[in-house]
Amino acid sequence: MESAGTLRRPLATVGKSPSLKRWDLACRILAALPGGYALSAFVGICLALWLPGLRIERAMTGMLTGLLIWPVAFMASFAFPDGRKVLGGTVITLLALMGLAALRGWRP
Amino acid sequence: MKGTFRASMAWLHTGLGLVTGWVLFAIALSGTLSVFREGISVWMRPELKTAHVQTVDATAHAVAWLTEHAAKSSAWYLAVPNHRAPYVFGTWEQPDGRYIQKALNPLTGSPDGIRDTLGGEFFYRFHFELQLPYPYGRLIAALAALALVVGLITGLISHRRIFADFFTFRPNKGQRSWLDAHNLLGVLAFPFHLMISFTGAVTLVTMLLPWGPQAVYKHDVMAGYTDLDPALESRPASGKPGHLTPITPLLQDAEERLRGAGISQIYIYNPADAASLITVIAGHNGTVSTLSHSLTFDGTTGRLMREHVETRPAVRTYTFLYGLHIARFTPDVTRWLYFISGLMLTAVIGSGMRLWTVKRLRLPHHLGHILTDRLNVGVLAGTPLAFASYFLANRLLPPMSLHRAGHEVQCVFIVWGLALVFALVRPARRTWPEMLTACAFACFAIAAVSSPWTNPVTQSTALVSLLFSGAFAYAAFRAFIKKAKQA
Repeated sequence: MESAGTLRRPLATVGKSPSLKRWDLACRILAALPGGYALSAFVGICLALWLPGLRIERAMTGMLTGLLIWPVAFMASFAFPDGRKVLGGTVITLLALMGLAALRGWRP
Repeated sequence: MKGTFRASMAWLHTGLGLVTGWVLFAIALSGTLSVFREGISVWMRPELKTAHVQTVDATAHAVAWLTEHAAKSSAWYLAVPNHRAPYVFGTWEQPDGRYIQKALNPLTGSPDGIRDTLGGEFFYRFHFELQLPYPYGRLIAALAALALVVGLITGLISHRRIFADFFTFRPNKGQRSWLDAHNLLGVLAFPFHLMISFTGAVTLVTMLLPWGPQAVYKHDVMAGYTDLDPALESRPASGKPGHLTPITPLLQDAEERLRGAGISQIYIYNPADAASLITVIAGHNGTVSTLSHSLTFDGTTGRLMREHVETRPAVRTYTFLYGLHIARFTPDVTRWLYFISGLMLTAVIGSGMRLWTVKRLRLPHHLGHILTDRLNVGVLAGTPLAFASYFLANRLLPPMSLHRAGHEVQCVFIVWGLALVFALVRPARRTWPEMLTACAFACFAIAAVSSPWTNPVTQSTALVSLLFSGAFAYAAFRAFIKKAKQA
């Protein structure tokens, strides 16, 4: 009884060379771990700075939303077919969020 | 496309599970035990006989004792008695900065005569601090919680027959049976698993993602805390000595203001100073949330300074999710459901780890697979054994010895370390039956030392540990048969 799991081809890397596969995986891991964390941090910062209302409410909404963002971003990083595009997309979104935060006075 | 998506998610499920599985197993098991942390604390303090305790009187006794013995402390934190924990649990800071945690007798206010133990607090702290220094344990726990969220969702995506798996278990088929068990347990309580892992991350969110508050509050961290619960007044000690106002009328006043919710905790800051403060936190009657209502009084005059009833939507969402995780609001039936679902989650994680090796050891053996297989024995059988030894240490160490609470905790880690070493140096097919037998005996011993089985706490502890003992004995029996077949 051979299971599909042991023979399953991980990720959408069919027909790519080993070094290309390694790059693909590295991009995904970068997008998922530091990228996903930074995304949720900046979503939190943007919501805290842009939402109307009390300071604590804005900060709390930002934190809780950030907590939802990371797992989703993490899974998305491995769901799309091209790892480099995933990393590119993460970086662009991140820059946009940083820009939005900077407009409201956020400084690194 | 759909096939590749599912394959990617399955790959992620397996990879993430392998990396975080062992930590999550220990977190899930200690969390499950924490559901009954008051019960475990009572079991571990057999000297406490009192069943019905007057909240206000017991707290007044505790305050009187602390005034005499810990006046120099900067703060006392008291968890007041309730029908589950008939004593005051006090935590206070010593002048040297160390924290003392003791159960205080409800009739005398003194910790004397009650064995020094952390009780169920050990499992509760371990569940999110992993016995590591602040903030590392908490950060690892928070990351593990999010990994579990991802693991659950990717697990759900990667298998096809969710409904059919409700009714599918094919025993005695090796890998197939492990997969069936993993799926069945995972699917059956899936909503609970997802809720408990996400709300677990919520309890640590202020550590994991402090950037939003930091952007809003800049460097004024205190303002953030004050905004979170505006009743939590803080003011520095004046340096002038002062006396606490009589505590009984103050608590009666507080009970009236809390309108039936009861008191759950009392914080007393700078108790021997003219600028002392007394904060009273409401109980959980009729609300899931933590911090639903709080009061702060001037410690010397007893005048109410601040009162806060939580109505802000985002903060309420947070305290609701927090309350859902720690489940202090729940009646006994719900607690048992939390406990059973928690055990199922522990079993999902354990069976997943086991499945990983069962699958791979059918292929030509690889050092990594063999190591994982052996560590699996050390963690999956070693953790219950270590936790069981905590209960046994509580009964076997001399009741009134010095540093007893610390020694109980050391027992856990000594047993755990020995179990890991034992499992690493010997083949897994030998250590599985041996370690599982040890677990069965340890659980049986807990049931035995619960005697006399006269109250609900000792009775239910004995019953649960007998059930565990039976389960471990059955697992050990199966493992022995498997070993005999292979030999």
